[in-house]
Amino acid sequence: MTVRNTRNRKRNRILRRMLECAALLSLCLLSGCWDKLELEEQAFVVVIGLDKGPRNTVEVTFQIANPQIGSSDIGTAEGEPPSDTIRFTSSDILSAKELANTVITRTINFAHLKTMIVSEELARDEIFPHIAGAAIRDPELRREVAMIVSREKAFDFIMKNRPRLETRPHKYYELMQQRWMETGYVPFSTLNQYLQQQVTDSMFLAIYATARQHNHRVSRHEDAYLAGQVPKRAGDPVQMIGAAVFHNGRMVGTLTGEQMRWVQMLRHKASVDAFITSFSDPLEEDAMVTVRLFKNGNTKIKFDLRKEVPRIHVTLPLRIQLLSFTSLEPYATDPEMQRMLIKHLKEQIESELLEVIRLSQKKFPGDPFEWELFARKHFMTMPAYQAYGWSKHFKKAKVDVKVELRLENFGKQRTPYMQTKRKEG
Amino acid sequence: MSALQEEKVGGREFTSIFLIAVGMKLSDITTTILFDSGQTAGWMIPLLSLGFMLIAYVVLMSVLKRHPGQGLPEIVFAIGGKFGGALICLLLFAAALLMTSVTSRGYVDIINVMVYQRTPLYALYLMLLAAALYVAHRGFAAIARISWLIIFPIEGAIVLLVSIMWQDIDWLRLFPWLGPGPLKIVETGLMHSAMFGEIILATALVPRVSSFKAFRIGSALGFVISSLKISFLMAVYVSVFDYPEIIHIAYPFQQLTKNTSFGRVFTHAESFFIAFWLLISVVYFAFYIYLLAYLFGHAVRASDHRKLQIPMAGLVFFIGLVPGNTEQVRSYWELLMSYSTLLYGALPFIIWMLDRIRRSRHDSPQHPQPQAQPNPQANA
Amino acid sequence: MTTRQDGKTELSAQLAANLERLKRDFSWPQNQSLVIRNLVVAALKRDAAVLYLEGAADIEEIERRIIEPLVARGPSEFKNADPLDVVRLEIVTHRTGKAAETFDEINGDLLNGWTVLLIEGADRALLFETRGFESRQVPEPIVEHVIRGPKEAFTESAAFNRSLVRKYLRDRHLVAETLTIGDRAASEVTLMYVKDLADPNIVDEVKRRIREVRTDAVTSLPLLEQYIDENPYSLVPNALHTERPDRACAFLLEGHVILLMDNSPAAMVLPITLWSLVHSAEDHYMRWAYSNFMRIIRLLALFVAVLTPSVYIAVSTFHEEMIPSDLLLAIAATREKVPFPALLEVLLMEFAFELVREAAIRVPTVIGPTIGIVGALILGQAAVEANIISPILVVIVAITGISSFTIPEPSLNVTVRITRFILLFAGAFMGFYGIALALACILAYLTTYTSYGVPFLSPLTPHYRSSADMILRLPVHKERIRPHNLNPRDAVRRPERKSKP
Repeated sequence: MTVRNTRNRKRNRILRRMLECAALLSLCLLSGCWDKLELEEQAFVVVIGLDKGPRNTVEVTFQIANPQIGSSDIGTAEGEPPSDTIRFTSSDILSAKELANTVITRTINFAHLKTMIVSEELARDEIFPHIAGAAIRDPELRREVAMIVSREKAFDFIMKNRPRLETRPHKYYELMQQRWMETGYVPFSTLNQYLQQQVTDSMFLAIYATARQHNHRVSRHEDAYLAGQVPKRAGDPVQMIGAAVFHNGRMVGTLTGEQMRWVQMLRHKASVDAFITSFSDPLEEDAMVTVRLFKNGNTKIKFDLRKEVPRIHVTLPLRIQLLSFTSLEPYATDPEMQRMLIKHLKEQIESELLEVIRLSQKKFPGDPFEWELFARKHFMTMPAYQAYGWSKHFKKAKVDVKVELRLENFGKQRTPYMQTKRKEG
Repeated sequence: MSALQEEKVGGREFTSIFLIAVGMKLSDITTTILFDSGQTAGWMIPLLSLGFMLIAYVVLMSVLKRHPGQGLPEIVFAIGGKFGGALICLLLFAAALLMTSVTSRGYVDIINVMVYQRTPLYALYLMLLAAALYVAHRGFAAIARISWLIIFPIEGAIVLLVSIMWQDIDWLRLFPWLGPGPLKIVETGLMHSAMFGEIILATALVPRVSSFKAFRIGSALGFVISSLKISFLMAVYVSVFDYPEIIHIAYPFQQLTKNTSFGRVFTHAESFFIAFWLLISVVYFAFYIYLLAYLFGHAVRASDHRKLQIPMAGLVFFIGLVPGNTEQVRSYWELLMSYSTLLYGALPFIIWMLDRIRRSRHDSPQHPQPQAQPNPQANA
Repeated sequence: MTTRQDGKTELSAQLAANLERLKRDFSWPQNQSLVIRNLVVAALKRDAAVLYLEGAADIEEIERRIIEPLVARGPSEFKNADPLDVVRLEIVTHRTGKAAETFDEINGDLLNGWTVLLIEGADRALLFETRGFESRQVPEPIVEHVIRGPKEAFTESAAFNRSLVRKYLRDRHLVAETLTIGDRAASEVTLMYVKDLADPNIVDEVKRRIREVRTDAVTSLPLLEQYIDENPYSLVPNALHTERPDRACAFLLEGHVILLMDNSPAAMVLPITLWSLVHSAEDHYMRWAYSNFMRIIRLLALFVAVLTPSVYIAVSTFHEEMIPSDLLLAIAATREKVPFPALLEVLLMEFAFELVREAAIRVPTVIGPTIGIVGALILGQAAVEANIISPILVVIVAITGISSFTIPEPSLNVTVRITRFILLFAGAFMGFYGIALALACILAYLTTYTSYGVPFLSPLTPHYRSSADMILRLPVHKERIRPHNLNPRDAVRRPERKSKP
């Protein structure tokens, strides 16, 4: 073994090492890296719309955000619209996604999809649960996508939804999400809940919206409207109020905004903290009392399932702030009047709650209040519960509601000014 | 580097290995399979399985106590002779190998389905195994130390995840809490005890731990806490997703992370949790590759089990590619579970019996008590 | 002149022969460094010669303490018989004095600044330590600045450095051992450690490594560090250089060993852990809250410096869902006009930043500030406006660069920079998957990396008891224990206090 041999071997070994490293490095840098996508080569769909198409197809609408509008000066492109809306007819959402690439220059990406609009026509159709269930397999389509049911076709809804104060399309839904949680006019519905409640005895409630104005008489209760009935003029065309009620994946009815709020209250977990609503004044027929309602703890629901007709006792702890009353009566200062007011409000609320409960018992095939979770507590095993059949028993149930009301404050005005003037005069 | 190989691992590091290795089961296909049979009571099953496995563990521990400083392979060779010892080691090795292959294939499936859809399976698999191989190559000390290093951030991440999802949790969804009925629950728990089978395999590593007490406390603590963790997380899954939807979800842990968001700004924070998950899965598989090489090395009396790590990784890779798709992986897993349960359940008793026989033979008046010989394999 | 068995040549009794030999050894008269002063020792009435190397010896000391007594002292009654002993013990007033028999010893000591006294008729020479190399006055630290705390730094004189260390740590167990290395030109290395604290295994290991160095000459500490490095190809440093004596003493008190050499204004500390590299001297000079705050910021900066570019690439190419929608659209908008893929952009920017960094070190101080301005202009506005890079990348690279400057130790700084590139490629290749796998491998490497037998990440892993000073620190009176990872002989700094101060 000569010295030259050993030196050669060593050199070869080092050379080979270097080649291996170079090969690996080039692999890292040059390969297509299968899942790699440059940001600017992607089309981010922010809203998706679903309509019923001919012969068991679905018409999928994509609204794609244009990044160059609303960004800083460097990136701005003059004359481009803030978003691009385009509709395809296909057998399901994912094939429509592929089809979209015949027209759209960039790769369609659902990573920032947060809203799904379904037309009422499709929601009532039996094909809808199949479409939704099939689409959810794609990991890009997330389960927390918000689901909105529109009265007209989803394509029209999306086209008409051009809010004047929001440049970017996703901003509208992002901000509206906060409003949904604040006011309780609509349920906060996601695809996740839809899929969950497809097979349970609860009913899924979806946001109800429209971009068309329907005529309706003005109601004294400011929330007793469905989408499209809100008395407004000018402004953006889209309204969201009320709920679409689903059973086993298909839409079966609607609830007005007011009814929706009470449904929220009757659910045991509060998804809306507080909302402002009005009731009739106890002393003056034409006047209304506006209060802000807070849930003062969880709704307590007790079941008595022993007999064939189950009895349900609901206790709703509330506290209210008196905001305004057009009768200008001295509710704030007179304790006797306070007591009367509280009793009156309590009765009003209880009667409205009972009305909603009776309505769902009569009109809908299940309970929208998620009370089946409480019913499940009473059974040891799942087969026993399923044998019981909660929906049937709910329709027959006798429900009584008790509201515990506490009046917190009266706003920053103590007595209405007219009161003192009347005394003087 | 060789000095490091002989260095013993302390109690803290050892415990964290188990917290990771066993705790990982809350994030893979184990939970889905348990929900299939367990429904809303799925969270009880890990506790039951642990209970069953602990019985076998206690029996095995009593044998180990009598042979201080020796791990399972050494003891098995001592009491079973060359043939018996090799047989038992090979059986354990085969069970561990199949388990590792199926589990690693499951993990790669998860990565493929949830995060990187277009990357081919074999590429993901190769990368994972390459990294795990490197870590295993640095030695058991590396695995132990990394575990200790990352255990607190990992537990913190899990706590963070649960607290972010707290509002979506509705504990009422756990009712009816006996799910499919107590009989079915117990049966499932029993048949799936092998998910804690590492307890039995881990006894092979006794010589690598600084003291027997450290080993005992470490393994017991690691398993009990992990089982509690898995149980709790399974309860969280049901509370968030509700039955029966939980059965339809392929990967509940990853799905849970998909719902997380840090405030309103950073939505879709699942990649953050996925990064943690990937890091610990590397450690997890490094541990298994090390264990496989160790067991096989002892079974065939190899001189340096470290050289076997590359072939082990290769075996895992090829066996892991055998199932055609994710549902097949699931059915293989189930099958494996049942057989492994038999193995892990019965083995300690068999060992205990053999040990008893050997002891009684040695204690009898015809054969005087032999001197305790230090086993030559003890330092490998 | 006889040659001994070990190859060394002994002196002869004749002055002339010895002088000839020395003149030849040092190439006199071409080499004007060798200075020969012939004189007559008055007391003994003999010829003598004083030799020293100009520049190495302290001339004043020679004149006053060696030449003057030799020449001035008249003959008198002496106690000793041997003329060498007489000169050494009774005439010369210099504080040192030793006898040498071989030329090798004389040559070596001459080079080190010693003075040689040759006497006619004596077959040994007298050597006096008169080291007088030039060096600076006590300077201020250049690299390791602190706001509060001493501002003294080491100089290029090992003796001076030793004296500084001894000034800070007045412990009789503080030992300074000297070793020589270098076959052609011998240099001295001083090993300092506290004898009843440092683990003897570590000290022996260091000594063994130094003795095994076989080379021409090792002129300074950074070279020595590379010679005794056990992992020369590794990215992680094995030793730490500090120019502050107070920091060196803090390490000594924990049980570390420090090396000092001439020509190096630094002390080399062995063995080290990651925590030694990340802590700064100031951490202990500030109060608990302030120093913990700075430590947290520095720790976060470490993560930012290593992870930011890779996370940005991973998120923007693989995991777009993580970015908030508004930011995503803003980034996409600015990126539309940029022709390069994201990875190339990042590489370009990082490369430019590294260029500026290197240039800033090399540029003469006169035009130093200009580089900063020009660099900022090039890297910032102009590139963005020319659509070469997108604006967010400027932010990313700038933040990464600034974070890496917070790392106190230069070698760790470069380690971080290189690791950043490794993670960048991993992230560009497979997104978070790549980063997670690369991180796992890096952690595996770090946890099993040892520096003289001490694991790099200890006392975190493997777990050792330590003073509460690893990531965050506790108030000083709670830092009772020395870190056990160095296996110190005395593990407790002070006994348990029962009451608060």
